[in-house]
Amino acid sequence: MDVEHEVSEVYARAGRPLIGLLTVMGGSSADAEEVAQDAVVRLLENWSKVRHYEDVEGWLRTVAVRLLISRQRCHSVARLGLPRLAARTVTETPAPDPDGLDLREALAALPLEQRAVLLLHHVHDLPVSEVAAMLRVAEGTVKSRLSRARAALAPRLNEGSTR
Amino acid sequence: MNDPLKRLVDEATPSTTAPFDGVVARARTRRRRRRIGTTVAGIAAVAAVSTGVVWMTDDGAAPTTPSVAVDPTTATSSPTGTPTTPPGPPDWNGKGAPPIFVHTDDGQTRVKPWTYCYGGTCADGMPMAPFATAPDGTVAQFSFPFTDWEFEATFTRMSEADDGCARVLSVPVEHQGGHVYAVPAAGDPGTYRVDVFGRAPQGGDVMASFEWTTTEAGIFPEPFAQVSAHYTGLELGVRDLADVAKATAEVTVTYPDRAPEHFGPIKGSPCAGAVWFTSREQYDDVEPTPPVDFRVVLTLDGVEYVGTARWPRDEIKDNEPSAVLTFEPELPAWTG
Repeated sequence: MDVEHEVSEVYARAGRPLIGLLTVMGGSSADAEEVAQDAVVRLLENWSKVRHYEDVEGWLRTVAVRLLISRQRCHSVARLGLPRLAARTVTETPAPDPDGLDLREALAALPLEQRAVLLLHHVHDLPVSEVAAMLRVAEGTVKSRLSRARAALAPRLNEGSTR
Repeated sequence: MNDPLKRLVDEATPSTTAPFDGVVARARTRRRRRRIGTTVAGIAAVAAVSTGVVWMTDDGAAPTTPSVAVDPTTATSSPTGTPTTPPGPPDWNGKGAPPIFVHTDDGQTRVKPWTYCYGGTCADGMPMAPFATAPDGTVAQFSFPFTDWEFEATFTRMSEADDGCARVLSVPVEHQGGHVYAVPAAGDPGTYRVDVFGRAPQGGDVMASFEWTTTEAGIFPEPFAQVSAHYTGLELGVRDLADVAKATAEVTVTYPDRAPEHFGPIKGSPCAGAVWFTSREQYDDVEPTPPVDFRVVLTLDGVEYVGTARWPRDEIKDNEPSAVLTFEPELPAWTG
């Protein structure tokens, strides 16, 4: 199989969930799709090495999350993200349920870095140490971000929780 | 706790993605841009040298914002980074987070931290290129406004900065007296991004980055393993291992006042000498009654290693409630 074919299979398998994660993390499905494609471009460029990794999709997710954060910081979007996200959420996500919208707005009110650790830790089940390595920050930083994010979202996260 | 968040991500997941052909076209465009960019960067570098201006981003500002103060009067350095005159306190006005001042051939380059907690304010960020550059050598030095902080340096090869599976090496930074701190080389010779993480004795921290090409092999950190089992579920992390392809772990946690818990076997995904294991089978927000004993059976490429730790006796400072594990036999180390 050639490189493009192999990477296209990864893209077909991992692309949609990655865009979902990036959309919630960054607040824009359009940006999420663009960042996901940029990450796949990096995958194409590094395929000879990455193809031997046990967790290729984890590599792709790491690169995509770093690109998203880097992009948002570069463009100072993080500061403007809240109103953008609130404005876009309703139109970009099909038929959100009222509870979900409430959580989405609360999530949008968090700084991007807190959203990132929350989603990576709780949705993708990545341990604190791995999130720290992925974001290149100290573990203590991840823990404090998680703690702040949980405190802010606690009432909404507990709604419908199975734990 | 996870379900509402997972639902949110599921709702945001599109039913289709853009055609893969578009991604391929994007890759080709990126290659073309990079070729053009290399040429432009070369021209810009010549222009910067001729005007004596260093451009970099150390505070998340636009990459073209000049934000580095090069102070040739503060100190002089040899090409290996060893100062010929001991510098005094760096020139800092006390506002904001304390920067580090990387010693260069021309003096010192001021680098603002991109993550910090200082003076009642915390800010989290990411390292952003371009970086200040320390002179090639076996020791890189920086000055810092305070003399009683502890620093650690983490090395990542610049060529692997975007690699989700890059090997990172952390080494302690030596306080050379006064305001000067020295970073020893780590790993094989090469060009690295060095993330310097400093902690104040009374609380507070900063993280700042610079680029450095090491000319000789440096420190190869010993393997390190840590474990914890509350607040975030079971977490087991091992780093600075030799390259391994397959890793599994079984963990038994013994409490003084309740039944022991057993986790695993859990499969890990080794990545450049680091592997993490996690289990959300148990999730306890309540701190357990001490002492808590951990027994970890780690299997790396078919070889078993048994690690033990007791919490809180072996708790890692500033990384609570994780405890450091001691293994028998010793874990395989990376030697470059």
